Amino acid sequence: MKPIVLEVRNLKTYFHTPRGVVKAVDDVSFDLMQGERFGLVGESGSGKTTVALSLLRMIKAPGQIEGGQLLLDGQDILKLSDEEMRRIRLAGIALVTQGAMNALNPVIRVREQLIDGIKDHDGNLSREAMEARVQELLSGVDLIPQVADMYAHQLSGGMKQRVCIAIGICMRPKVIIADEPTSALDVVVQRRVMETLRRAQEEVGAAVILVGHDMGLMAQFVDRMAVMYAGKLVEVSPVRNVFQEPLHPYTELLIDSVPTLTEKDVLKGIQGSMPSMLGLPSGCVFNPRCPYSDESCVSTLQETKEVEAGRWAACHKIDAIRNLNPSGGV
Amino acid sequence: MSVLLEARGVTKVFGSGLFDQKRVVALEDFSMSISKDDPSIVAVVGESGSGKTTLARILLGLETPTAGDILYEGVNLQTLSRIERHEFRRNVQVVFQDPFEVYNPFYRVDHVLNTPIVKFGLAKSPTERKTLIEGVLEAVGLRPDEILGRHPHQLSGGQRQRIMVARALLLKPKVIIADEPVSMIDASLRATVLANLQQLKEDFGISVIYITHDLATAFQISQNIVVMYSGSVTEVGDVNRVVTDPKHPYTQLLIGSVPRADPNLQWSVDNLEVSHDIGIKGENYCKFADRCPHVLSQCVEKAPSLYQIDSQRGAACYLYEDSPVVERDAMNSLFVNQQ
Ligand SMILES: Nc1ncnc2c1ncn2[C@@H]1O[C@H](COP(=O)(O)OP(=O)(O)OP(=O)(O)O)[C@@H](O)[C@H]1O
Ligand SMILES: Nc1ncnc2c1ncn2[C@@H]1O[C@H](COP(=O)(O)OP(=O)(O)OP(=O)(O)O)[C@@H](O)[C@H]1O
Ligand SMILES: [Mg+2]
Ligand SMILES: [Mg+2]
Repeated sequence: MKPIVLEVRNLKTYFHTPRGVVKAVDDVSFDLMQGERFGLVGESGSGKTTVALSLLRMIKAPGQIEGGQLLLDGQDILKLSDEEMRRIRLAGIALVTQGAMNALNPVIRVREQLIDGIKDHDGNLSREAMEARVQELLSGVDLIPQVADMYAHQLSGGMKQRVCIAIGICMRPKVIIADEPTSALDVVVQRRVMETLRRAQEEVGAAVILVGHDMGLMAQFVDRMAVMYAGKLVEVSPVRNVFQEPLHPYTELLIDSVPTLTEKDVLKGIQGSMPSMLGLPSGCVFNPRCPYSDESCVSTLQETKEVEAGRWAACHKIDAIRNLNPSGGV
Repeated sequence: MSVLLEARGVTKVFGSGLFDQKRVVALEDFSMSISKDDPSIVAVVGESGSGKTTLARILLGLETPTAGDILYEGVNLQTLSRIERHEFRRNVQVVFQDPFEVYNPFYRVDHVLNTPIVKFGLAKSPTERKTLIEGVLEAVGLRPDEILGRHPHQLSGGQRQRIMVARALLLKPKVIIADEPVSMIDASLRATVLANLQQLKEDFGISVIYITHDLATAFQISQNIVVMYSGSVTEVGDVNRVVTDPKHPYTQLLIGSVPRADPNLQWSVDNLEVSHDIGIKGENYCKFADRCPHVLSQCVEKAPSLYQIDSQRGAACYLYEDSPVVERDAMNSLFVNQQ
């Protein structure tokens, strides 16, 4: 097995709102292998973006990282000074967001924006070397050299997203976090952007955490997947297993609700809605909506366990559920 | 058929001013109508930058067409009286693509929901107003106690999107133009919100123009679909036919590019995607020609008409030139459930 590049241990990130504490990320742990493509999915508002921003220590008040460890190559980045952390961003962990596309500076040419990224960490390059690096970055994301002279408004959404990937990889980070990088793009462009990301990632040997909602994209892009619900990771498994035999009932229902292009179904989501983040149910956070839940799900503390080699789930009834559906799936 | 909202031969050109470097034809000779008594859901899909949002903004009167007209109940938007305009604003609602843009960061989300209630006098008392707001928030899977009182940046992307859908529901309009209303929402909630829109159609006769990149949900909730490429319609008609058996080479590429939710199915459309220099002269040509695996010499000389391939579907492609031509303003005749 590949070495671990990032260990997330018992991460807790809370928002202190006037109405109470929102435990947006509550005791989340997972490992990321070198060069691995890792998916993070889950209900809207379940805490995915908060995990992503926590990994970069970009949480703003009223939010705060309350506890845990974030070990990047064994070093706990929660213990670093702000200055050291600034270096880690881009060079260690880079972020590509959906909004990044609109966050490109409108009055600065693409060249300058790329150079800003490079200079931040490596100010000593000569002009020629810098220009060569810019061209290398652009061609690495399938953009023609002329793009360096353009402004954001002259680029299409797919081109802008590729520029953002180029900025993201310019320091050869160990981890690239991509938070819904393509949800505003059409599927043809999406496919190309994801291919670009995959190639760039393989070239610099970075691991990718892909945050998103598109289960099709996850199925096609990631190696392993984590499923989040109400601030907790309820399942972590290789992607094939997730689709073939999901372990946690929430994962199972989530996969069931994915519409297809071949069969017309009645559109139905999972019944009920996510619990209030201000007053989570006791026991398993999913128990009020779970078709398998009983008394024990309210009284038993929810714990994430390795159910089989390489597969983790936070449900104490998995064996019982499996006996109900020996083939897997409801 | 009495028509509620109609686009008649609409063209929109951006950047034809003196200092603009590039002229963009965002929408070209587009015609479509929404019936008054036969509510339906029409999906509009297509390339990023193909003119979908431009179409939405023009239908809403937020953008003036360069050529052509938008008619509301038969009256040109530009000549609506004050009373008619007030009615138009209530009956034609929008849910926008980018929820980051529409919110004023200084207002709490309550403001977004209170404003239309006040403007259109929807509630007689504060209690009634509260009931209304809580009702629509719950309809989109949000908890009023958790959401109200917050500022927009304190909500997740999906939560913001759902507030926009809730706002549209509040007004019970006749048409909702929904531009990527669920792009940031998970599969389960997406189904819930879209089922909501569908229910509105059934219960209140609300028509929906559903602009999206998500072909699977377009297939699930709409009856008819319009596929756009670079400002023009490439394929149009019954959603079942277009999605399960696409005819236009662009639609084939589009459907082929949808990532399937099955790790065992390959995400590859290599035989559908090409790129070649085909020597385009002038402005009248098929915009997909340089990426089309079936390109013919005539494609770069003149843009193809819309050909009627079967009773409920048309495609703008010379591969089907033996079929009868559908006039652009008769596109609606290809829709199912409409005369
Ligand atoms: N600044 C903030 N103040 C208070 N609560 C916040 C703040 N930012 C986020 N939250 C809350 O934290 C929770 C997690 O939000 P987050 O943005 O991480 O969700 P997400 O999983 O990324 O959702 P989505 O899929 O909709 O983007 C939500 O309940 C959200 O309302
Ligand atoms: N205000 C404007 N000024 C200049 N060009 C514009 C303007 N608005 C849109 N355009 C151009 O018009 C074309 C159509 O844009 P539009 O936003 O309608 O596309 P879209 O189909 O909604 O794309 P997406 O799927 O990415 O949202 C694009 O080339 C765009 O760059
Ligand atoms: Mg998010
Ligand atoms: Mg748009």
